[in-house]
Amino acid sequence: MPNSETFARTVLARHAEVRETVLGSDEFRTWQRDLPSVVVDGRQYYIRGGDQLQDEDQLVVDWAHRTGLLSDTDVSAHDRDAEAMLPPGVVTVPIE
Amino acid sequence: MDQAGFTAELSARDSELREAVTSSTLASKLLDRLQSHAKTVDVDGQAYYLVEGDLLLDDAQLVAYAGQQAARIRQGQATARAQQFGYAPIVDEQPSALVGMKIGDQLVRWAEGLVLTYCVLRDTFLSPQDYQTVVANMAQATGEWEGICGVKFQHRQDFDGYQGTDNPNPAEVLFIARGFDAGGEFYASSFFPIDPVFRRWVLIDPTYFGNHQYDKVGVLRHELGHVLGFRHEHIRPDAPPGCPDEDPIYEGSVAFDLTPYDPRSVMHYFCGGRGNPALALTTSDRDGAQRVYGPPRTSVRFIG
Repeated sequence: MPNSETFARTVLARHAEVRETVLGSDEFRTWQRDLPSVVVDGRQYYIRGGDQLQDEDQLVVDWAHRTGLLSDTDVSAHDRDAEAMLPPGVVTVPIE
Repeated sequence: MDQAGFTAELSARDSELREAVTSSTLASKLLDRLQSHAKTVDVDGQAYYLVEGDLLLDDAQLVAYAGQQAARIRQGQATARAQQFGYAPIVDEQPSALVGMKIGDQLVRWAEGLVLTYCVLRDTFLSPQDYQTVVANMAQATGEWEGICGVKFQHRQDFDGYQGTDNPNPAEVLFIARGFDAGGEFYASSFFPIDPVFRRWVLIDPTYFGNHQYDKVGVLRHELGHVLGFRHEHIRPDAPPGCPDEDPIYEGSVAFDLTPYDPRSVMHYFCGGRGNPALALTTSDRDGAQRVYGPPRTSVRFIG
């Protein structure tokens, strides 16, 4: 996962029904359509927060979280996930 | 929450806030004084009060500002009174900044000692001048981050002629800076440490080189803040309305306030009447960055 997939994709793999529900929502489609987007290296990204690029999986997870289809726990990684999900060169350290 | 609900909540909050402020003698006096004496400027037909030299506040924001200032004054008075009776201050009010990312109870960061190598893809820029501008501005922006916390960047100029723009990046560098025509949707865009490796880019739109309100080195300081794992300062609940909204949970990581809210942070947009278009690193940015990365490497002296 770290090199080629997002955590959002992992979340949607765990909650397969969520993707279908969100993509079937007219409100989501309207919101998605109105977001500015760019294509980088053949992949479409939506611009969030002014300067951040997110793919459709990330939009779906964000929408599902905001509308309560997914809980904080569903969309948050846990300590035990960290080693598997972090890309090379990235670590977690205790908060001091 | 949909847009209508959000707007209604904001409106309700504004009216509650206005009532709270005007029912406080001190806040009410402050508000009257600000409304009478603060300079006003017109931006695109909207009037703003100018306070603290560079903060533009609309009418509702001025009310909030007066309330906050009154609270600070009262806190200062209470602290001074407590000290008269021999009590040490309980509240340590440091105007600090930065929002980090955490997974579980751990902060996300680049590994200790890792040199953050990058190249600037020369051929992706519209002119040699643009390329040189980015090289120079990246050098300055990376140097400034190195000056406030324990990170090290390195420009691998020998890879600036790399021809491929899509993934994978040259394996020898951690990330690339490249020209990218985003149609003016952003000046620049970057990545977080937890993003997939193939997204390790700093994209720079042609509008970056034009005339705009933001400092050009500052834009890169801001983007490099994301590269280091810092979220936007204005996603905090105490940021003013009018700033872009973002989910505090991103890619499994949860936004973590490293320090209290700072409207002048390098990671705060110039929005909602707050922010600083210079996108400068503040002492509070330094404090927050050092909480994740420690002091600058140059300040460490090894013995033996």
